[in-house]
Amino acid sequence: MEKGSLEKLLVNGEEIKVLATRGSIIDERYTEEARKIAGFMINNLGLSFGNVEFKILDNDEFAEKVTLYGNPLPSWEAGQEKLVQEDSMKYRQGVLYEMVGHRFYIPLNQKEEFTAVYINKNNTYDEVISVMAHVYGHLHMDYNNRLSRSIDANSNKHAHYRERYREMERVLGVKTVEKLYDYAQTLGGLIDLFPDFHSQNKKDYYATDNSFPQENIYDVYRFTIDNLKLNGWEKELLEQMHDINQLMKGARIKIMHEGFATFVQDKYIEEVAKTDVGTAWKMRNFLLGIADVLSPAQMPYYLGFRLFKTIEKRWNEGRHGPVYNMLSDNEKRSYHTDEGRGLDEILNITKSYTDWEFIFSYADLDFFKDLAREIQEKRNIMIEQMYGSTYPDYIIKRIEAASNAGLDPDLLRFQLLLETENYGPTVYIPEGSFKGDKLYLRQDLSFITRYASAIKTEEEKEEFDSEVYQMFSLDNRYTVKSLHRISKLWGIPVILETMNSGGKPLTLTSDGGKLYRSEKGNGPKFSD
Amino acid sequence: MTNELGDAEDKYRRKIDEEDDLILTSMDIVDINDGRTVIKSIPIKINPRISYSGLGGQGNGDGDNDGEGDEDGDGDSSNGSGGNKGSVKVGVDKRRLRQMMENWGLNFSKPGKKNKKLYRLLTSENGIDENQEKTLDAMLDRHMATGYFAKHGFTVDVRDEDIRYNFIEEKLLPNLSATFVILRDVSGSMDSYSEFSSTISGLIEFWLRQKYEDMVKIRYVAHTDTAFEFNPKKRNDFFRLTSGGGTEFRPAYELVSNMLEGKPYESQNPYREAIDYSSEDVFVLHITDGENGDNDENLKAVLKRLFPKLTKVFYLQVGDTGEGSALGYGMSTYSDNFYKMITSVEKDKVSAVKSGNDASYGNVKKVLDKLLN
Repeated sequence: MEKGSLEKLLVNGEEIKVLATRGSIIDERYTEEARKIAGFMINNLGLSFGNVEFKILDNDEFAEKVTLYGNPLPSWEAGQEKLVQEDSMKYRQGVLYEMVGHRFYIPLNQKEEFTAVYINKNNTYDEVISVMAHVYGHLHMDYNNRLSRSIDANSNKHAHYRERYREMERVLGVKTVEKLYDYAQTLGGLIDLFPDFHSQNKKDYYATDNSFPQENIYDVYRFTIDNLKLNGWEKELLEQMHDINQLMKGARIKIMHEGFATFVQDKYIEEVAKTDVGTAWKMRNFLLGIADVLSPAQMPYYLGFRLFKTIEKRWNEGRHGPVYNMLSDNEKRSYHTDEGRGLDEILNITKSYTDWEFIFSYADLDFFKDLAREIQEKRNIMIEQMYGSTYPDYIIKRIEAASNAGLDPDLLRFQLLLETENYGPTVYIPEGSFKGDKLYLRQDLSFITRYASAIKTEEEKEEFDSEVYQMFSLDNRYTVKSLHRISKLWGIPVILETMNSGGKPLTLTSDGGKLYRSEKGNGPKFSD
Repeated sequence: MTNELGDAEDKYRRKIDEEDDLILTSMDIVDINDGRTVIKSIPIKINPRISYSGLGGQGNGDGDNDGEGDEDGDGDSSNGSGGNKGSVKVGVDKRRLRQMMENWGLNFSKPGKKNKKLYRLLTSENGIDENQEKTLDAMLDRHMATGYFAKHGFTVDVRDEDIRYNFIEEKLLPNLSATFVILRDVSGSMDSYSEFSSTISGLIEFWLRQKYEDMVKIRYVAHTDTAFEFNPKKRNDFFRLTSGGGTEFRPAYELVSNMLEGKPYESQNPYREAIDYSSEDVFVLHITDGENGDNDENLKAVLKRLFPKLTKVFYLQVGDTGEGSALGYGMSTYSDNFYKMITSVEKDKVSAVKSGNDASYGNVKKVLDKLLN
């Protein structure tokens, strides 16, 4: 309560602090605004979070923070990432407005712990204010979502990793450390981040045979650390990288995270509009610029935002539940109760849901029909603007038809569910396959069965199969390079059982330098 | 500004130097020599992971990749979250080029094998050193005289009064400026080597400019069976010059000799300026395919007269070095003759190298390594 300009900010009865700083100086104006927004978020919307420090940074400082977020170690990759970020900010290509610093879960009663939030200062005042409102959405998710809380991203821990990495470089030389770093990055794709996505092991507790491993191993990275003979420093670096890679878990709530933040931002803009319509209009335009339905990179913002808006409306008007679902279309249209539970429902969702569950349970076909229609309308406006003055109407109709051809609400839903379940290939070491002379890997396609069951006719099945083969084949140069690397690290041949794009089984064998391809062996099956 | 990333950027730069991803054209080198920064764009390096063939970026939902898509399909398998991730833009300026050449093994400060003499000329300094032997002797003398030695035996106990210094020796200071003469064979057979010659001479020019802090004058001499000085303001045209006729080396070296002695010579430059070799270092780079249609004995006499006045001669012989020579046997006999002769005249001053027409990063590295070290 430095300024005493507002009443206390109380979250669950505990007072929290909100600060905005430039370097080491407290920025009074932004602090006051930030406190005002925080008050609105806590009291009107019921959000909860801990102490916050908004750090308002210049482009290059911001680029460094963004780099450290994804690459906590000072490797060559971090150097590349920083150059890319600096470039994109300099030329305003992919502008980042805010970044919520990593934090481990801080209990609300620890008053001196602040979550750092980095804000790019090269924006207008209104934009920065609106971005602050957006950030409170992220903070709420970070403090309340089950998955988010399980991600251990303590920045002090990362600083320690950095220090150790530098020490290794000093003693062993940059090249030695970098080589292992690269191997670890390649192995990083084989961590079992989401165990609930693949089929579960049925371990025979009383197994007596000597086969090894005794169950399917999905975390090849961990298997490597445990079973490869490594020096102390090698083990330490691999462990560090394994830990850093856990941050990727956050990908599972991306749509919810961004969607909820944008939703909250929109709520604040509505509040501003009550007193200052001009500013609110500017902020709204800014928001729609970010959450753009046509840009694939911004899709999570828009999709989540749209879905939360729909949920709010439905639960406010009571358009949900078994009674509502039994009504006919006409009755549904005129159905209306003053239930007013929109916000409650949304706050409940943020507590424990992930993207897949969120979309599976709340985004029904009606939602995707609306979404498809919206995309179509926006596209058509763009096409009209681009070609309207140069081409006659019938050609523009044809262009529109061509660009909207794939917009099937069914397909949209299907793709989205598949994407939110599948963040890269799942590869495992089959039970009893490791005898020390070769490393045997196999692709897992078991998650497909859930989607395959929805298909009825033979034709559909054929089409589905061929698409699956094309999408999920692992036959490409990145896989080959990775196999070489893994083989070099282990010092033994590595065998990967996958399929080619025609669905035929394919076995890739690498001895570290040479690749052998064979079409024998049993490729992955949906029913595994 | 915090510096938590430390030298991560430098590590990345070293990596792209080593993996030949940063390629400079001869025009880039001219720009850098003129003090400009050249922006090069380098494709992003990705640590490979086992990945799907068909699935595009995770952010967008269009799965319309047809088939394998070896090049394109994989490239965008990185997350769509970080904006567009096509390439990294890296600026190259004088400081950076110097750093790169140091990474290649071309030292600006340490002596190489062949240029020890040159190095001594260029970097010698007057300095004061402690002389350890004499200091220890003085200490022992003191111990003997005071009876300390008889009591305690040999112990090291140096005091200020014992310290002895080396004599200050007078060493040669390098000249403060240099002239770089580029002799280029412009006969018809040299037509295809212009880009390569331009690159190499540009890099040597850069090396000299770093040594002499930009006090370097460049003179361009073109020759076939006659020789003339080319207008130094038209550098880029110099490397595109071609002419018919035979090739003789003697007129070219005689012209350089005349330049040094202040005698008249043929020139396109309105100001005929003599090179003052007594107060300047003179470097000569001769680029040719080695085809000399002249009497060797005459040429050798000219070289013997000329070389004592020069600081260093770089001889770059371009052409197909392997067996698969397109022009056949005739050329190679000429080549070897002159190559042997020029290296035999004054061994210390000449560094000679044969190279194919390969302006790739690795070859340039190799050629410069041989010429400058």
